[in-house]
Amino acid sequence: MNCGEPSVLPHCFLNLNWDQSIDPNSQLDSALTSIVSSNAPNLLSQSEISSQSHYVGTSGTIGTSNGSLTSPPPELNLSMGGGRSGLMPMLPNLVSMNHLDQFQPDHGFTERAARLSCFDGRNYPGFGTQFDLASIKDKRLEAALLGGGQVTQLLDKAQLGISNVVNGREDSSVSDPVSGSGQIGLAVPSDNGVRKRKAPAKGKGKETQKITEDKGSDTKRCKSVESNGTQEEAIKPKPEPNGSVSTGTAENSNGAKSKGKDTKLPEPPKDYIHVRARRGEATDSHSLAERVRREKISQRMKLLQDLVPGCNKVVGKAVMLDEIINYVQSLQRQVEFLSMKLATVNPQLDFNNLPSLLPKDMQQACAPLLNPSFPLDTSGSALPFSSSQQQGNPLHFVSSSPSPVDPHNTIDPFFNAVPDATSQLGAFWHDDLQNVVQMDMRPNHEEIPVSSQSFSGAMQQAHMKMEL
Amino acid sequence: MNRKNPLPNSNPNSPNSSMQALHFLQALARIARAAPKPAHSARTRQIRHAAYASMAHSSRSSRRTWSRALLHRLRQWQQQRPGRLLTVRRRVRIVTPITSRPEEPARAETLRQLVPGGRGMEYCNLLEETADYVQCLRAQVQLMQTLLDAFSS
Repeated sequence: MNCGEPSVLPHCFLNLNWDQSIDPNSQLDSALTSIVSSNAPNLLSQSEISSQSHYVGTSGTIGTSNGSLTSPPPELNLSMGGGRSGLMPMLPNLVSMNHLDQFQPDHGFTERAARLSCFDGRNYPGFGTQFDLASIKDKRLEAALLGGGQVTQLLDKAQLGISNVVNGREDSSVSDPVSGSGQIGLAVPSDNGVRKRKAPAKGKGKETQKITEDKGSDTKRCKSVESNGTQEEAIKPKPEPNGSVSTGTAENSNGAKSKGKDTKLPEPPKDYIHVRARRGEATDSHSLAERVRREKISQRMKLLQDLVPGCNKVVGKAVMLDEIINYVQSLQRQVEFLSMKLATVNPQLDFNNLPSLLPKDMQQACAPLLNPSFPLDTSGSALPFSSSQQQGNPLHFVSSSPSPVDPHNTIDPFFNAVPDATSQLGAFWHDDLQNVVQMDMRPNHEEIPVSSQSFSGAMQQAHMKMEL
Repeated sequence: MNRKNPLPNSNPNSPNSSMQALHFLQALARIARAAPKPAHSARTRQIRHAAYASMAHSSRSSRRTWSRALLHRLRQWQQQRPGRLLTVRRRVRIVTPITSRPEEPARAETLRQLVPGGRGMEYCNLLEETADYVQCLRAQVQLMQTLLDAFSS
């Protein structure tokens, strides 16, 4: 169907296949049809319809009476779904209006906006040239366009448009009629509703609160836009009275999309933590803060889950917390136990004999450690290590360092300068100590002693018990 | 590299673990050098203190609440005379769970007692501190285990 003439417009309107619309929108569609049909003659009387030019491309065309509508909406998602093929032919006619400035902001415009909202977002041939969806710069138009479409998807975008209208506009002449129209585009445009909204919309852009509240109340009166609209719009009156920091977040949650929606609005950069009110959740400041806190807690629980072995199978905060507590207790017990063992070993441990204790290969790596001149002991006393100076570089590092050791400066180059050690030692020592001595693994290493297997975190205690 | 068990977050910052190891070895050397006390328990206590001190001094944890609390606790322990079983406290500390909230799990109090400095923290920060503390503890345990194996083989 291709009604290319304005005179055919009412026909096209009436021929709309509203049945193809999505079920949630059926109510809206039926209301829209009523409006459309009722206002078709009015529309025809408008001269702007005849003008064929880029309606959307020029942002100012929405109505110079509406002032500067230069806020660029990120994207016009006209994917309104459904089979609205009937609307397509009208679109070039309506869309290409470029004399909207002549159009007075009355209900006729609002109906037209509502009609435009029903348009399918598909890029029809011949339509795409005239109607550049991406170039739609006016959010209010977007709101109007979106209002009749998929309410669920585009409602938040319309909200954004409206919120921008209401909150961002400074020009008095601009905001009110367009906001009224935007509102109408959002909600089901009935004639009564249009006129009702116009009256409260006469306020200024400054009176945002009043407008939003009126809008909220108005939309609540409307039948179709209940599920999403009221929730979305109810958000606005609530956070605005709140003067707290959460207004930034709430505002963002209003301006941005709700989580379940599928729009592509960029988030305005703000100083606050961005919080999004999820669909179906309370949106006052307290619950938002609570939600942020809960998310932080769950984030940290996930981190702990990675740290504590064996927590992957467990689901649930209580059990995981028990696991974490058990793990911490077991680690502390291990420290006690190991220190006891070290105490028994320690008397036998003479660092003079350390070279004999370690395998010969390990001595090469530990030689820098054993170097008496290395300021291991910050108290200044030299350690009674055997000076097996096999490495010149680290020693040079060591000796050149001042005695009041800056640990980072001396240790890091020291450890980096440790020369290649044996793979045996590398396999023997765990990862931490590997980094300590910076050992280099050789492919052909000897058999790793069994004790090295105790390095697995969960097995340590069991291993120690086995050793006993 | 032949890693037995690539633990998550086990080695993102090797200088920290090397710091930890260094401190511990240093302390061990000091203990070994000191006059060998016959009391096994005293030595155990010293080594344990050395372990916790090296944990608290690792660069990763120097900014953490638990490390500061741990050092404070260590100082308290060291100031106690080792021979005394009872320490006379002038102040009676009333441990009131001022930080416990209704929405916290029941075991949160236990966790607070385990993690040093956990009493003054909110639950959210407590979890973060616990994660860091667990990391350091595990590194320390591995270090000690390795030393044991090295010294005993």
